[in-house]
Amino acid sequence: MNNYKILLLFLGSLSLALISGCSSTHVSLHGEFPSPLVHSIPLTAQLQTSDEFLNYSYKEDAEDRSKFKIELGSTQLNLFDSVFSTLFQNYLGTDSLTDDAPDLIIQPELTELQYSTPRENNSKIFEIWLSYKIAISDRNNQLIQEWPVSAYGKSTSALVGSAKEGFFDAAMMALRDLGVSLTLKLPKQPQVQQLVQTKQLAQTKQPIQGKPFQQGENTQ
Amino acid sequence: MKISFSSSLYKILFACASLLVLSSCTTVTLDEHMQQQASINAGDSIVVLGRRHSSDFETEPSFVNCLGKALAKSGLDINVVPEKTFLDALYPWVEPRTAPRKTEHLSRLLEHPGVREYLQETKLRYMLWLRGNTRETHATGSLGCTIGPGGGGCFGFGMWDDESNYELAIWDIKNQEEIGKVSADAKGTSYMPAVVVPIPLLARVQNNVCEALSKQLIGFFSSNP
Repeated sequence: MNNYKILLLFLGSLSLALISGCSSTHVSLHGEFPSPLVHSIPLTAQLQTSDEFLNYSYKEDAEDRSKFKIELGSTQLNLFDSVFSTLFQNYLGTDSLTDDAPDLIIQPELTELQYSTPRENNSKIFEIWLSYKIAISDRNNQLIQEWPVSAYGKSTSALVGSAKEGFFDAAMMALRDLGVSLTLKLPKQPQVQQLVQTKQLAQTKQPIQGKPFQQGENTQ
Repeated sequence: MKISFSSSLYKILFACASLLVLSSCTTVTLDEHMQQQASINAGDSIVVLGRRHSSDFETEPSFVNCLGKALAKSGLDINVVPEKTFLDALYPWVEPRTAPRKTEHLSRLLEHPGVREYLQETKLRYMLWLRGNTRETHATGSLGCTIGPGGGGCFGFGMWDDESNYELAIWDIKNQEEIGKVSADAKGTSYMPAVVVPIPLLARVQNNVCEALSKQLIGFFSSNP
């Protein structure tokens, strides 16, 4: 009787595994990101996010692909907060009621998400590509630059864990990679550099505390 | 009848024992090329990092962790900084697309704000860069599972070969040079017989490489001049 129970348990587990293999994968992203080790850009920045950005989710309904849904949501905000709080000398976050006037306003928009599974890429990894459009506006909310940024992440625990873990890993790595792009490339955007120069010129009579920011810093 | 039962039992036991012995047959080959002796003091730190800048350099974090833990438990009076802690602390300078690929790039890494201070604070003496992976190279056999109202089970036999190829480069942070390389290759065969219930007899290829490589490194770091 005991052996029969063990067999039933085994077959039950096997059935569950088979059923879960056919069902959809739902990934809800969560986590924190490290702050970058960089010189701060001597500007005051504010982040403006839309509800669409904060509640972003991607759902795959194509019949020839596995059913998949991923919610990036506010985890993206954690990444932007982590990076910008160090990248800018003064970061106001998404707080629009502050007394400080921002030098620039940044509005990120996730325009595209693509992914591939081990079955599709013939490897052991899950991959995710993210495309963002970063709108940079001046203190008068006039758009001064639109900057496309892409990020890539691949899972590191494929075939060891589930598809859910694989997608989670890949998405977190993609956001981390986005942080690298923001850190390295945002200071080099022409309009950002121009804002820095303008502000530094305006402050020549009032020396800035700390090390002056120079063009080309924060580059690899 | 009793004799026949015992005989069958012995046959099954013998077959299982043979499979277990076969499953543990993993061959590991190490190749060491050291240009200098390690010079590490009590309290110094090392970090084991995996190369992940392309699909050809996809070193498993599990293997990096295995080696790091083996070195941490080795009894050597050194600290092993966990890979994730190190990557977070130096973000974004040791990410897949920003990490230094040659020792010549170390000076550039040290120029970034806070990097030198972190390395001094943690007394980091050596960076151990791992590249390579473990993959399945050959599979054969047939195994099928069926489920019906009256029950079910799996029947058949499967076997596959796993192959590991790793190379570890030891970078001296203080002198900004590579002081040695150790490469490890291993092969092993895993078996999966199934009579109702599948019995996986897995070759511990990756674990055996980890053990062999860590022993080699412990010897290297123990032989301080």
